[in-house]
Amino acid sequence: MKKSHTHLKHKHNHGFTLFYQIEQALGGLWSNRLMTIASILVLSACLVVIGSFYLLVCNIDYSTSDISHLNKIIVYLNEDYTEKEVGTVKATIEDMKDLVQGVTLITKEQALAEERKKYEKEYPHMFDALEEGENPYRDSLEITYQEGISVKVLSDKLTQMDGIERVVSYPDIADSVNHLKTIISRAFTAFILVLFAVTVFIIILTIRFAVISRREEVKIMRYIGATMHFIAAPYILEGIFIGLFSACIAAPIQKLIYLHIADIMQGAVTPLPYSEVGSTLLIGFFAIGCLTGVIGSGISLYRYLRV
Amino acid sequence: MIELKNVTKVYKNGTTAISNLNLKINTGEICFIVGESGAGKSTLVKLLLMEEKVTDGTILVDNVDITKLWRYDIPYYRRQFGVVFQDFRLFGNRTVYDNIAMVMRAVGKKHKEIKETIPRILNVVGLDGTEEHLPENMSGGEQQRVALARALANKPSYILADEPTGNIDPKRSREIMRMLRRIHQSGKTVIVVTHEKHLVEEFGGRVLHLEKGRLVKDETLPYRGEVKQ
Repeated sequence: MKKSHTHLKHKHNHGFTLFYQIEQALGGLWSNRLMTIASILVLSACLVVIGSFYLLVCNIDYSTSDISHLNKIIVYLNEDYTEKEVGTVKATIEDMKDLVQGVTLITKEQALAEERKKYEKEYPHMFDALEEGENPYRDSLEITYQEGISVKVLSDKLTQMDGIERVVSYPDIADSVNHLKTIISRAFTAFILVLFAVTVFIIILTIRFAVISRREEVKIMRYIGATMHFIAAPYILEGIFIGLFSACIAAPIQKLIYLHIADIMQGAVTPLPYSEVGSTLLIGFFAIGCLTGVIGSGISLYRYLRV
Repeated sequence: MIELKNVTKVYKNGTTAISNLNLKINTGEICFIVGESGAGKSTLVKLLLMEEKVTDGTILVDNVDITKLWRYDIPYYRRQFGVVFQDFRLFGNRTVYDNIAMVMRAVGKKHKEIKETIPRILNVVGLDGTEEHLPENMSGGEQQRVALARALANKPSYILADEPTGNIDPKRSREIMRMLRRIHQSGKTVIVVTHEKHLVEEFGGRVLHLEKGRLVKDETLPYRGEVKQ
């Protein structure tokens, strides 16, 4: 009478001992240490690049987070307009009380003075080429519009007014920046995926090298009735360890680089404090490192473990 | 009991290694499978270990049709066999202790049991006190005894020896055969695949002759003890 095959499963246990497997994994990493070190270094470098892109996107978000809240439009006036004519345009705009909250005149002299102040530290001779009395800037009006109105409607009205050469609205700028952020995010995502594939490939090579050098061992293990889990576990753990070691190296390097660049950029932009993203980055490094290790190991082993 | 019913194995290149083979090996037997090169002996071993699948036919091991086993069950099935190979297949860079311990760990034996069992098994094969030795520093005969110890470690139902004396000198070959005989006498089913007919004639037992993948002769030879040179 033919028995069911299922009795075989219950005769023995799976033979998995975590401590033993960890010991085997660490031993395996040590015995292929050159390849292990190479993999860790490459994976660390990839993590730092990924982290840098992530920090770049975070900083763009941080720098542009207020723009969308500014309810202002800047209009640049005809450079030939007199002071009186500029005043008339200002008054006309102020009369649109259903659309406009307030209007501030920024004269061309004020504009030049502000720009001088902004750049005099870094570029003290920037305006030396200007002759006495020469001013490249125009009079402008900073218009604060009412909440909830159609900015396009207001912009169209302003564009049609006499004396107004150009209309620039912050929502337009915010849209442009958001658009730029979307492009950068998509490029970032694509780049990350490519980098991830590269790091997985590196892990595949490392683990495959380890498996090939021990393929006789793997074969013997199969003959003696070791399960796939028992055979594969040390190699999967090797991949995870490579990921963890890489994350431990990448994290402090990333921080050092970021703080150094933030120091350099301090005058031009306000960088995002590292403490606000450091933990997320660290967790991300460990997660990506481990995931890369597991996927790389799994792919390497698959061919050699098919019963 | 192992039973092959109308088993045929044709490899992908068209070679028919085994053709319509029918045989039965009873529990507790010592059985020699002999034949020239290309007779199908190695293929038979591969089929029994499920390293290859049959093209046709059925193989029953203890009434379980192994041709229908799921892939997941194969490692558990293989644990019924203690296998000894011609080339020993030991982990050369691990001690004798580790070589045997690994097979026990693979089936989930605890450290305490492993520590108690290994010296006992080494005593059975005449290798007391060699736990810390490296197989690569041992003679062929000693390595094969380590392999035998490893095969016995998990108390399998069957001992399957594939050309166990192929890589060792005649004197050591006899020692190995004597050990296999003793293992058989302890109650295990022992299957020895060999082309060394003089050893078969000396040690006796059931002898299955294969030729071009077919069973051509099934006989039982008496045990004659040591043959004087």
